[in-house]
Amino acid sequence: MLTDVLIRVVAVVGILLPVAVATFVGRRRLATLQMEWRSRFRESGPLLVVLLVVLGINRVMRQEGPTISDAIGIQLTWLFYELEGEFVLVFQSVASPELTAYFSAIYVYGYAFLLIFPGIAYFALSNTIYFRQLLAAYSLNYTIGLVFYLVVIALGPRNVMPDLLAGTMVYDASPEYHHFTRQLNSSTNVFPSLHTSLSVTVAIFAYRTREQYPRWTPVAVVIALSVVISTMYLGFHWVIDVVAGIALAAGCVALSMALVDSRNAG
Amino acid sequence: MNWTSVPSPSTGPVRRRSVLAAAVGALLPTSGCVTRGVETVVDDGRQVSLSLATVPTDDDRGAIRIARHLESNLEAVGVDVTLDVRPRAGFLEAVLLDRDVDLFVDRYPVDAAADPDFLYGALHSRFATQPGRQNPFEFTDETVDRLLEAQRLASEAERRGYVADLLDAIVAAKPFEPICRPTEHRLVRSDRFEVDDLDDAPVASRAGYLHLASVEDDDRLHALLTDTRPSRNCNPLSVTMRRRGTIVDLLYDSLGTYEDGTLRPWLADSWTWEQDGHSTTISLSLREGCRFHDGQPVTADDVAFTYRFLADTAPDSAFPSPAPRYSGRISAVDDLEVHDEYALTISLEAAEAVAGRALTVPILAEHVWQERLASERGHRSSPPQGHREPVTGDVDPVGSGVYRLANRSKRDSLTLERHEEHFAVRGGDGEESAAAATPPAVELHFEVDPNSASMVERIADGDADVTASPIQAYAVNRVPADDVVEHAAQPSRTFYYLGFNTRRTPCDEDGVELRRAITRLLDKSTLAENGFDGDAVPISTPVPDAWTPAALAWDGDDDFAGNDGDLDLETARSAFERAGLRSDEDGRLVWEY
Repeated sequence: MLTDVLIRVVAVVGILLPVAVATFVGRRRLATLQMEWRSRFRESGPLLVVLLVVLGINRVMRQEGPTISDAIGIQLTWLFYELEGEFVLVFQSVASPELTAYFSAIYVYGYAFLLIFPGIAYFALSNTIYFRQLLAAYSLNYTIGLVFYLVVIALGPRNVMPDLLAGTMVYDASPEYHHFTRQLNSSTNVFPSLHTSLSVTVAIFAYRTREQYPRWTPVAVVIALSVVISTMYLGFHWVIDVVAGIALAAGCVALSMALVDSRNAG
Repeated sequence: MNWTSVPSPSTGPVRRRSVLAAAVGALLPTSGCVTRGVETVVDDGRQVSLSLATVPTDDDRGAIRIARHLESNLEAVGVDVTLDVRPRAGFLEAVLLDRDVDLFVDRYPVDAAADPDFLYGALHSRFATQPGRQNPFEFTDETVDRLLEAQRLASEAERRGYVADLLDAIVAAKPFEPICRPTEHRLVRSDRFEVDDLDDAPVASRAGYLHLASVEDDDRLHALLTDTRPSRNCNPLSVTMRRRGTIVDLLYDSLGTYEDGTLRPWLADSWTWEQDGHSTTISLSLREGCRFHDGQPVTADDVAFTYRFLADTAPDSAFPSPAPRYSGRISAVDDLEVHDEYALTISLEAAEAVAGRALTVPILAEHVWQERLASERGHRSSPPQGHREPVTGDVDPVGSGVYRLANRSKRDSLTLERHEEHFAVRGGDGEESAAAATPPAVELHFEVDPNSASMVERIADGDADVTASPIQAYAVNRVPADDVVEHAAQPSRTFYYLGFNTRRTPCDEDGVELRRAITRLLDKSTLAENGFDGDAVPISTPVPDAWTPAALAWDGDDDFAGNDGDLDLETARSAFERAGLRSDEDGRLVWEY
């Protein structure tokens, strides 16, 4: 059941990527990429390793994290609910089956595509600075997010308001999504929203590279915005998580720009 | 998808006002906000404020629905409620160990005997100050104590009367309010395993597993489990990691076991019971040749150690520290005498009808636990009971049970393999044997699947053999109507309840009227209907119908302050007024001076 979703994600992203590469990157950049990929790889290698290590730690922490959280974490679901109440239900007032289908597709497939494509697009630029900064920003997002996840034990709105949020119904109708998201993250890791922070990170980079990739910028912003709304529409995240996610994204982009500049390659 | 057709507990009279919305209002320019602010602070200090804990949608959709219903009605009458939703282990830690919430909604894990004596552990004041599974209500009431003891000692004929009086006393004092009894649904693929000669629900108990007969040669059972906790911790004494302990019962043996409601010898080979007035003496001889999973023999000394250890897990300390689980079941044990390697006598301060519950606790290996305890010595201050790592932490579950732990992957799966030296596997013990006719499955593989809809789908697709956890009510209508998927539906012995911490203000001993007023906000019929998709029955007492006297039997929502699902604010508020509260001009419930 889990592999079903994985195969579907790989298939969808596998179709979208070549289309996006053809549309946004172009033949000329691919031609230079063929000649320069070794040197670009050498320059970015260390940060690529950092990101892989961070992802590896995240993988291990999916199993071990909750045990650590049990010991040091603080239960905060009540506070988020006290502060926000049923605020996320505003999204339900416009809910329709079509929107639910759109947002659940965005949440799973759109998000995966949104995160992977910039990696290819920036690697296709002669100057590796954006690629390296993107790797650094991803690593920072995951690392800082993980620290919050260990300390803050909070459940999303769907787990507090069972009948009022589309996510419950999506899980009931297509339980394979429940398996899929469970593999990515524990249900108590909602603060901050990494879906939000990584999508906004990509959107900020897309804005910064609007000269290199003018057509990608609006597409990235629309997908990122859809991912952000989907997290609340589906009831996976509180507004607070989303706000924190946006702040995390801004911080990580700023930090990645400060840490990785044009002088220090790698 | 139709959004409006979903029964929503929150569309009550008053919707929860969010602070976020209030904050938006506060940004607007107002005059004299300083004075208003001061008034608010003073008034807030007097408003009745309660915390209400429960578990999330993923853990138990019924419990969160009940809690939201109550939250909504409490808000409507003007109580300031903080809904505190925690994953099950964290919820149990708050309710059973830290005991720092006012109200809690959960399912009460009644043991396999399904006898009203479970109320002894639930309510006796001797457990009130001990963190653990027992008396989470911290309830102390002399009348209830006396009746709890009397029903234990009474002859079978008299007992019914004491239980009736006890239920009367509980209903009046309201340490908790029973809400409804759900139906438990489990699925078995009959092309893989057959349920062999058993009235009990399949895979719901030790017997439920042992009576599964493999249809094919490959008798590896692939079971789906909603709960991740057994994959994280198999310690029988951990109070936050256990529900009913069915997997523990597979890993550990007990002296006796319940099968179709009857207690039968299990690790005991045979026993004789003697009742003398109010006490019962059970002389047991253990099965010979039983071994723990590490190869050590099971002897009467292990049995004696178990009962002593459960009664006091810190024998070196000046203060007794009963085990956080099983204390209620063994509380009737008065004395235990070992005669030889296999023979012992247990005397209990209880009549025969009740004494059997004491024989269902897991028998622990003395050498294993002594070693664990030794690791603790030298630490000056021991953490409070229930938190003690050697007693409740993760442990390699060395029992003597039919299955041993083979493998586990935290939060994903748990694999048990058959303990070949176990008597239920060896068989050949003749008439006395409680073992099933066919040998139990070679391997039990439990895979965590948190989603009931997915569990149903996977059983239907042949991707798994049984649902080890009951499936939640919302997914029942997805069960295919074919011959291959056997659908077992039985009323649960567990029930949903609203618990009060009767030591915390305001629901403490002076708050009986307040507790009554709060229970009048529960519309049990509507909850049973909407919260459980019609698959639960509202109840008025915590015991099965057979034990409920006619005067207390469920007869509609007379106690609910409202009609047909709608709360009547006036009736509800007048109940709170009897508790010494009044509504202020903003509709909040405040304390009378």
